[in-house]
Amino acid sequence: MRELIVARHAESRLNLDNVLNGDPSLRVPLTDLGRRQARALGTSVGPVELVAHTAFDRTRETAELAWPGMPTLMVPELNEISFGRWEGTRWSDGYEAWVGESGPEDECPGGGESRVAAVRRYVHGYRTLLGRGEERIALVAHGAPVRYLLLAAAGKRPIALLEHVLPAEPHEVGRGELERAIAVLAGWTANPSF
Amino acid sequence: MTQVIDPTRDQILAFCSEEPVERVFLEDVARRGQGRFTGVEKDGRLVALCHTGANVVPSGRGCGAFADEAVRARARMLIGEQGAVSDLWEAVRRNLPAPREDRPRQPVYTISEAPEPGESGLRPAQLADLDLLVPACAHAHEVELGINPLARDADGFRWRTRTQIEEGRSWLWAEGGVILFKAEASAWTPEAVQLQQVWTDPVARGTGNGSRGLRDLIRFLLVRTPRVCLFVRADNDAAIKLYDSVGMQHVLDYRSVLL
Repeated sequence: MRELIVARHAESRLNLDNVLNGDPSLRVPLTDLGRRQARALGTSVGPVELVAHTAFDRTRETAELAWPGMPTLMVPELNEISFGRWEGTRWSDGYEAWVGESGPEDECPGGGESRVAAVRRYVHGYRTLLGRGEERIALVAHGAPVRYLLLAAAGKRPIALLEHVLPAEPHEVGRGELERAIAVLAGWTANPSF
Repeated sequence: MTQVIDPTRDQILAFCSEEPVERVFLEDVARRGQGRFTGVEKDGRLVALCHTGANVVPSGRGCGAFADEAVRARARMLIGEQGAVSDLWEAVRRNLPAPREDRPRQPVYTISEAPEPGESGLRPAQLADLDLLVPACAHAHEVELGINPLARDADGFRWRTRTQIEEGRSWLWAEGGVILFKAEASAWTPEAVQLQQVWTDPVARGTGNGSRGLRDLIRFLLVRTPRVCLFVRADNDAAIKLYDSVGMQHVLDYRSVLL
C-alpha cells in the first residue's frame, strides 16, 4: 500500500436522529443525501485499486456507490465501537456523559467495549491494510477509527471526546503516516490515558 | 435481591458457559461485541440475560423483567429457549403487535460424537460459489422465516452471504452446478457451533445427499469445537428425520415469535 484514502460513511438514516449504532446486525441504509454524498466521494477521489469497508451496511453501501464494480475488502476490525447499554440511544442520552467520566480501559456497561479494546482492533485493521499489495486503497469506516487515525498520523494520542468527522469527506494518508499512526495507537494501547 | 443490570462481559460469558448449546448465539455476539445486553442479577449472580439486536434473545429465569427492553427494541423476532421466550412474551404481548407467526417447541439438536463419514464432496465455500449460494440461501431463509430476502434487500442479502463465505462460516457440496448440501454457521464459540440454513437443492433430495453432507460437516466441525447444534421448525419432518438419522440428540426447545 502506498496511499490510503479514508472517509467516514455517508449520511445514514440513523444519523438523522443522532442515534448510536454499534451493532452491524441492524440494517441501516443511507439516506438520499447519503447516496449523493457517496457518489461524490468516488468522483472526487478518483480511481482506487481496492475499496475497504467495515461490517456495517452504511460503509459497504457508501463504498459500492463511490467506486462501483471495484474489488472490495471487509475489515471488521475497523467496525464502529460497541455502545453496550447505549446502543440505539442518542449521544446525549448517557453515552457522552459516560465517556467523559470513564477511563480508557473501562468496559462500556451492557456488553460494550472499552476505548482501548476498540483501538486495539483498529491497530489490527490498519495493519491489514498496510500489508496489502494494492498501491491506492480507499477505506470507508466510522467516525472513531477515522479520527483516531488522523490524530495518530499527526503524532497525537487518542482522546476521550473526539472531534466530529464529516460524512464522505476524503482524507489522504501516505504509507509513512499510516506506519506512524499505527505505532502511536499501538503504543497508546500499551499505556493508555486520556 | 433481584435487580435488572447492565452486565459486564465476564458476567455474560460466565452465564453463557452454564448452557453452551442453548446460549451459543448469546456467547457469540458477546464475544463479537455486538448489540446490547441486559441482565437480571440475583444475590450477586446473573440468572437471566437478554440480547437486543435485530432480534430479541432472552435466556434464563425471570425474563419478563426484559419487557421494557423488548418493547423499545421494535425487533422483528423474539427467539430463544422456550421458557425464556414465553415469560417475556407474556410480559410484552399487550404492548406489541399481534405476531405474524408463533412457533413454539422448535427442537434444538446437538451432537458431540463424530458420525460415520459421508464421503461427500463437502468443502468450505469460496467467493466463486457466491452466485450459486445466494439463491440457495434465499430459498432456505424463506422456508425458515417466510420472507424472501431477495425481494426485501437483494444487495444486502448477497453481501451477508458473501460475508459468511469470507468468515469461513459457509460450506457446500456441489456437482454440476447443483447444490447437494450446504449449511452456514450462525454462531461459533469455543464450546459449540450452531448451524443454520441446512439445505439441499429440491432436485437432489431423497437420495441421502443431505445425510452425507451433514455427517461430513459435523465431522469437520467436531475437530474444532466440542459440539455442533442447530434448531428446526417443529413441522419440518424431513429435517427432523435427517438430524435423528445422523445421531443428533434433541436436548431442548426454542420458541420463535415473529413480529
